[in-house]
Amino acid sequence: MSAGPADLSPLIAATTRWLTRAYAAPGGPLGAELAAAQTRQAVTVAAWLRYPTDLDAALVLGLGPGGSARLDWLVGADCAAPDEAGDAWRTWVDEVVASWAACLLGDPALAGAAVTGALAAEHAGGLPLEFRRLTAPDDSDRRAAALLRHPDLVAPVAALHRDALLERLGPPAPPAAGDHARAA
Amino acid sequence: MAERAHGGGAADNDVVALLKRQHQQIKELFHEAETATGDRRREAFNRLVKLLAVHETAEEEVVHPAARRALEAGDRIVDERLREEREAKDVLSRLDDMDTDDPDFLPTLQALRDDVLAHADSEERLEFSRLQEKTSPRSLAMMAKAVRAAEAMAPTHPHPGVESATKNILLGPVASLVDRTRDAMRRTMGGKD
Repeated sequence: MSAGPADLSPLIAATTRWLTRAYAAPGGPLGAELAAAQTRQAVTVAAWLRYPTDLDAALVLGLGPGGSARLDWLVGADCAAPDEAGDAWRTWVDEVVASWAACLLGDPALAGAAVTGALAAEHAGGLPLEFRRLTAPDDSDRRAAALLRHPDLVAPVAALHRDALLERLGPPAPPAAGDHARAA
Repeated sequence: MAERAHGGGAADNDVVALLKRQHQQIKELFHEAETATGDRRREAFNRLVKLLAVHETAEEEVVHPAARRALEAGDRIVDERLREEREAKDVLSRLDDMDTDDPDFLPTLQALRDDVLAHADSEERLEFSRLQEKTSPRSLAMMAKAVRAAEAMAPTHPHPGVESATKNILLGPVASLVDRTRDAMRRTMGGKD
C-alpha cells in the first residue's frame, strides 16, 4: 500500500458493492462474501491500473469518481433501488474501474496480466501481494461468482471501457517457443 | 473515507497485532453463535461468516506471500495454513446450507470452532511471530494498511463534491474530466503525454 495520503479504498469498496449487487451471488451469506472477496480483488487491481500513482488517486478522490448513474441505467432499475446502506456510496463508484474489473473477472489471462501491472503501481508499496481469489479461484469461489465471471452477462459493463484497459495493458506477451511448436 | 470493517486503535501500525485481535473477535463470535438461539444465532453466524471470509482473504493477499519470502521453510508453513483454511471453508459451506435450528448445526459449528482456533494458534506461533521478527516496523505498518483496505466497507456518506446521489446522477461520469486534468497536469509538469 502506498504510504501517501491518497486512499483509494472508498472508491474500491463502493465499486465492489455496485458489482456484487448488480450480479448477486446465489445461495447464503458465504456465497455473497466469496463473491465480494474476488470482486474486491478485481476492483483493486483495476483501480491501481487506472490510477497508479498517489497523484492520480488524489485527483480522482478530489474530483470525485463520477458515481454509478450510467451503470445503474445500463443494468436496469433493480440495481439502482436504494439498499439498506442508503445510496450515498453510489457517488464513490467509478465507472471505468467497474468496467475494467468486469473484464478481469471474465478473462483469467487478462487478470494475470493486470495483476502484474497493478503490482507496479505506487499503491502496492513493493509488497509481494497476491490476488489469488481473482486469478486462481477454487470451485466455491467460481460458484459464488458464476454471474460475475460470465462474460456474456457482464458484457454490457465490460464493453464500456475494455478498449482502454487493453491499451493500458499493452500488447499481450508473445507465446513461448514451446507454444509455437505445440501449435504446429 | 471507507468505513472500517474491523480493526483500528493500537493495531493500526502492526499487521500482526491487527490480525491477532481479529482472531479474538472470531473466537467471541463463535461463542455468540453457539450460545444464541433462533434469529440471533443466524445473525451471529452471518457476522462470523463475513469476518472469517474477509480475514482469510486479507491473510492470503497480504501476509502469506510475505511469510513465504521472509521465513525459513515459509512455503511449507504457508501451504499447511492454506490447507487448514480450505478445510474450514468446506465446513463453513456445509453450515451455510443448514438451518441454524438443524440438530447437526451446533455440533458442526463447535467442531469448526475447534479447527479455526487451532489454525489461528498455528498462524500466531509459526507464522506471525516469526514474520514480526524478520520484518521492519515500516513494512508491518504497510501490511496493516493493506489488510484494512482489503476489509474496508463502502462509504455511508456521499463524496464531498456531491450533495446527494440524486445530484450525482445529474452530473454523470467524470471519467473524461479526470483524464483531461491528469493530462494537463502531466503536460504542465513536463511530461510527454
